[in-house]
Amino acid sequence: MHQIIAGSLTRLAIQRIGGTSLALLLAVLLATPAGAVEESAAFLDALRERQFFDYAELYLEKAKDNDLVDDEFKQSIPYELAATKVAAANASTNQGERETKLLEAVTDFQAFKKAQPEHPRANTVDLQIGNIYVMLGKTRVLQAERASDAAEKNQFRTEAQKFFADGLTAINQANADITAGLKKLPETIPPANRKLIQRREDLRREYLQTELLLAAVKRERALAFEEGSEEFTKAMTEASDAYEKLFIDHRRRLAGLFARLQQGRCLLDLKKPDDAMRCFYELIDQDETEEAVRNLKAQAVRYAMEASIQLKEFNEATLLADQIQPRRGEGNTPDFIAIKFFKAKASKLLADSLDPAKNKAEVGKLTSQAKDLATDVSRVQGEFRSEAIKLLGELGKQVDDSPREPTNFAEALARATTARSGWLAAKADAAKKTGAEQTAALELAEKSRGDAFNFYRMALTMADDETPQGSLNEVHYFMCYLYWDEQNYPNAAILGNYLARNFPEFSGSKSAATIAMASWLKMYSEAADKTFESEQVKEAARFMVKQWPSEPEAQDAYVTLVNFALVEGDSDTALDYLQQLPETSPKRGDLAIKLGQSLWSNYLKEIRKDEAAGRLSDEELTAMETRAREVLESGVTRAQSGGEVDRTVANAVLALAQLYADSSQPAAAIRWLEDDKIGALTLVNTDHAAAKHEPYAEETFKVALRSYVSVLPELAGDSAQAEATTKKAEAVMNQLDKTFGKGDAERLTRIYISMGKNLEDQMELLGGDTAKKVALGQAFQNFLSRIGERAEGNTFQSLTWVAETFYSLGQSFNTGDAPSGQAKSYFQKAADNYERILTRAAADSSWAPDDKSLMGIRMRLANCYREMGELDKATDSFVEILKPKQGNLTAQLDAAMVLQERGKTDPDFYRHAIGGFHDIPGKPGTHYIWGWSKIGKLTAGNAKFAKYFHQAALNGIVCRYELALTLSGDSKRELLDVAKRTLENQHRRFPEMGGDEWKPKYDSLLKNIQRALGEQPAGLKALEGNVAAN
Amino acid sequence: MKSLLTAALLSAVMLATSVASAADVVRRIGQSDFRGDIVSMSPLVVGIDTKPVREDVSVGDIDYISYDNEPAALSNARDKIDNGQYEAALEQLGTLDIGTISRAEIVQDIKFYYAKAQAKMALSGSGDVDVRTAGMNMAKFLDPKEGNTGSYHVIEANLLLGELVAAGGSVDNAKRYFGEAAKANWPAGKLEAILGLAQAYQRANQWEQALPLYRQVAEAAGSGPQIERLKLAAQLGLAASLAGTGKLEEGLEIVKKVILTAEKGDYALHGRAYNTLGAAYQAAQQPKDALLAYLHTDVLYFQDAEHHAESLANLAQLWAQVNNPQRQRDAEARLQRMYPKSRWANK
Repeated sequence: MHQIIAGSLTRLAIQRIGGTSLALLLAVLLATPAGAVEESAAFLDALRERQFFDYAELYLEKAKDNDLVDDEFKQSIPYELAATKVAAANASTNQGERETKLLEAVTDFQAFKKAQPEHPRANTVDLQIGNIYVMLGKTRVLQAERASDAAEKNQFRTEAQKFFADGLTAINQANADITAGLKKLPETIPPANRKLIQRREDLRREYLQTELLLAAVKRERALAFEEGSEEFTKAMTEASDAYEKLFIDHRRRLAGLFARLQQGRCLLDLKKPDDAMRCFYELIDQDETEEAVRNLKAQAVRYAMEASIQLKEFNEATLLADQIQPRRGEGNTPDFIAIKFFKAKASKLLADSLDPAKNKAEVGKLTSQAKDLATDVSRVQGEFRSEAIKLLGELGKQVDDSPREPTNFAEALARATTARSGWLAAKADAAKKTGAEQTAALELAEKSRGDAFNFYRMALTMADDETPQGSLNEVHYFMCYLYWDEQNYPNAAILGNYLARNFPEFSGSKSAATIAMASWLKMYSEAADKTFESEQVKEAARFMVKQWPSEPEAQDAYVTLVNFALVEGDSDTALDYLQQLPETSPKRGDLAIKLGQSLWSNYLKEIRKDEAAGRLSDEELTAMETRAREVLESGVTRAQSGGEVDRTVANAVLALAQLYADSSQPAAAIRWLEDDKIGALTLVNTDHAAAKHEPYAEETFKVALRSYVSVLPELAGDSAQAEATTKKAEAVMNQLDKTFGKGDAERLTRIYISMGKNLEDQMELLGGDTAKKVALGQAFQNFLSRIGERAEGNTFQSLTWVAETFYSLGQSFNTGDAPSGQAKSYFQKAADNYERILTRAAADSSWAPDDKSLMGIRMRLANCYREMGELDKATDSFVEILKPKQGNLTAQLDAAMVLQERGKTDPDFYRHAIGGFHDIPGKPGTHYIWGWSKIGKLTAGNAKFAKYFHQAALNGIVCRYELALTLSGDSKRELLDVAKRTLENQHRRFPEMGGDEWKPKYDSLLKNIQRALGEQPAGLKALEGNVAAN
Repeated sequence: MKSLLTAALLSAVMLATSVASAADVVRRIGQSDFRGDIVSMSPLVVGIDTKPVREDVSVGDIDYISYDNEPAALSNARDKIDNGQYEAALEQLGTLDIGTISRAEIVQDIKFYYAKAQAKMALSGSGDVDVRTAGMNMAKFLDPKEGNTGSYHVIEANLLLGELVAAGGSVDNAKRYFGEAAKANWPAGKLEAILGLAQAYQRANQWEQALPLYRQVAEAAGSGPQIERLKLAAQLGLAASLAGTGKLEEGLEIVKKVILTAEKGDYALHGRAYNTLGAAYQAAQQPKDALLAYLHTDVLYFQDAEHHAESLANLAQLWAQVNNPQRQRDAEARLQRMYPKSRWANK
């Protein structure tokens, strides 16, 4: 750990401070206390060194109860855990993850110090924290440098300042602790007490080190401001003052000289070259025998030359270069390269300042010197290379600045990284621009992406056994990302998958896995046959939840798995994945809502199944219903806990209201409709943004109206409440009219009709609970009658709703062959209202929306007659409907069915049902009602009409069979044979026999025919054998 | 001054002459050497005439014997083997032509050290020799026709052959050689043979057979560094066998005691102990604990080739189990690179 921290501070020192002395001081400052390295510490260090951070953390967790670990180490476990997080953060290439870990480490370090203030490592905690903040601050400065947007730049700078300020606070605290430690020591220590003397020395050294560190961080903080700004000047002056104080207090020590050098740099940054020169000369005058002093001197020369150039003292600058000569091997070190560069620059500037006519030789010499020096500098990669090339250009010497082709992995990777940065910058730029500028930026982005690809590929070809796996992973990761950006999803998926599965602990692998999954999802959405892609998406998601179950990336995977399970109708699997999703996941609410809705839909499908079709038991159905409701409610509760009512919450609340309304719990439905904050009706009435999408209002009104009416039986003992609720129902009707009646009358009609269907479904769900059904029917009857009979306010649509709802009520009670009294009564009321609509429309042609709507009413009326058993009236009605237009297929189907039903009392009508009825005058052999045969012929071979074709074919055979049963002897057998052959023909032509919907019906019919013929009732099986044999 | 220097040089020359003329040397473990003429030799006792006294030295007390006028390559090879440089030892021995050596003991030594170097390489997987080849060489050394039956290396040769045969997978055959080795009439020799057999059973997962043998060694009377080392090793074997028979906690207690009492710097014992700990956790289906244990051997106690190879093999398996293919591959690659002939690399 200490190595890592020291390492990062070393980098800080090298990059910004420019010398190794401070780095060494910092390394000492953060070094592990002597004697603390036990076996556990060594093991932990080795794990961190190998970047096995997960197992380092595991070891520390287990060390608490490990007999093999000594107590001293156990006490430092929280510290080590925090240190491990810092190490993991430093190894991470994921910026977000790195920052999260560093901030967690700060919290952990603070907790450690609070819990164990006397621990030997408690003293270093604030330094560690300070270091973390400085690292974060420096990251923000880099981000600010890269940002192209001014606001973004400022934001990064502000954040950097905050981190540096926090860093300073932490280091100041460390400094204060050391000062307090010094104060605790006696003023005089007897020479014999070596331990205490050593302690005092240690504390004094540490104090000086923290003082140096504080000044260094102050300078970093200043550099984070915009150069020349008021804040910059203030902060840099503060850093300069801090260094000056250190110099004054320790002028005879190396630390004092170091501080002087840094003070000079601060003054240079403050554009005070005169003052800076004074600082540098104090170092230049030093004897360079000591290596450390020589290093400082070299730096001082370099900066003094820079200051001289600022002062336009070019000759002085060139002379300064002679103050120190490079030793063997030092020529290309950064300080001596800098000296060379400034000498070249000063020489050129000096030459420029001379009159060439009078000083030809001198100018020539200086120019030549400048060229030679600049050429040397241009050959070395580093801070001054590009400036040297520029200088050479000014001197009339052109240098090919295009970067040379990479010759090894590292160079190729560096070039790829540069190209990738260019790609990102161009993309960001394109997002802010429009028109031609945007096009140009996009073209640049594309070119940069291409370059990045090329260099990454080149890097891979240059990799060898020595290439670190981490670097190879980095290459693959960015290639994966670039493929994704390029929309090359197959390659992105393959690379992402490769990284995730082979190097799961690589910091980019989670993102790579996410890219792989997203790529497969893209391919899935574009594929015609989705089988393969679907499996790949699921496989990628399953891998993610297995590998990183609690990581944020896995949440998307869980969402995908739940969604796919829902698409596949596998609610159990969906629920299983939902339950695995971490409790804290923000995705859980949405998913629970989706799943709840799916479960409810499954329940509805199941309950509508015939018992013969293998419907589940009552207990199982109850469990299904409960589970659907619980999941949905848990989703709403969770989504609601977010505080904001968004579309998801609104949808879920409506779904719950529908669920309760469907299951005849209207009071509960009303609660979800009227809730003060999230009620569906409340949201619609307050015009809430979450309830504005289609068809939210429509569905809300529908379920509200149904619920208000449905709840009335429960309010039987409370007339006031019942009246109030009835009024609410009326109000909802009026709202419906107001909202949808103006511009789209047809839509309002459809809404009313679907409401009737909803009521029918609700009644169906009541199953055998006759008492409830009757009460509910009565409630609707009362309400509908009140609406239907009101003098004012009724429209075509509202009366249609009244009629439709009566019709639906009739259907709900229409369970046997013959209509029950209750059913008949409702059908009669429906017929009355349909007739009322037709009468009113006849009187006022503008009252009904259009002829099409009236045609629908006539058909409904005809069906009412049919349902009431008044089949002759029904037949007449259909004939009237079909007279103007026989191509009304729905009417033809219903009419044929009426004729078939008439066959029960008059077998001749079976023939009419097959062959048609009511001749068209003047067209012999044609009928207004076509009958099954013609319907079958006209719908055959058209996939769109397959359903009607099978309906016609099947019923045609039913008619033959039923007619045969009314006969006897040969006539009977003959007709049964015809029925059988017709069915066999049908099977030959259409072996699928209409699929699941029609095949069982054909099968059952054939068995009946076979029985009637005295044959083995094998049904379609016998025919399938024949087909196979053929 | 000059006379003093001359005297010193003279005495040095005289000393050298005197050593050279002292003929054979029996190096004893932790005791002073005997110099003289080897007058008798058997697998159990070596007689040396130190003039005027004849000493009969138990083979168990002998570190090694250097013979009068033995070839330098033999003594070099012996040193190399002692330092674990088996290939270098074989190189040295390869320079010798047995046909030109008349003294039988020296020829026996050359043959034995050749077989021993191969055996060690095969057992650690550190060279280009497999256990079968090494076993055949050692068996040849023990073959009466070869004329080595009187060598003081016979007990050690049987012990090594037992280990080689067990590593080759045949515990029953190994039993025979460990039985021969158990004929040693010094306590540590007997215990080493029993321990070897116990380890052979353990290697074959025959925990129940291994348990009583380990107990016998762990609870044996006697003391001294050699015996203590054997007892510690037996305790580790006992722990692994207990874990293998489902008594994890009991086994763990023993291993932990060994780790706590092992001397710092005894890398081999630490390596063996942590591997035992790993095996115990593996047997108890606790892969993460097992990983931490084997990682100790891998990162801290990797100096002993056999134990390191064992840890790498198990790490590879465990990383795969916890779904970390990169670390799995890394462990496998290091195992193959460092110990290509190891039984662990070829498991």
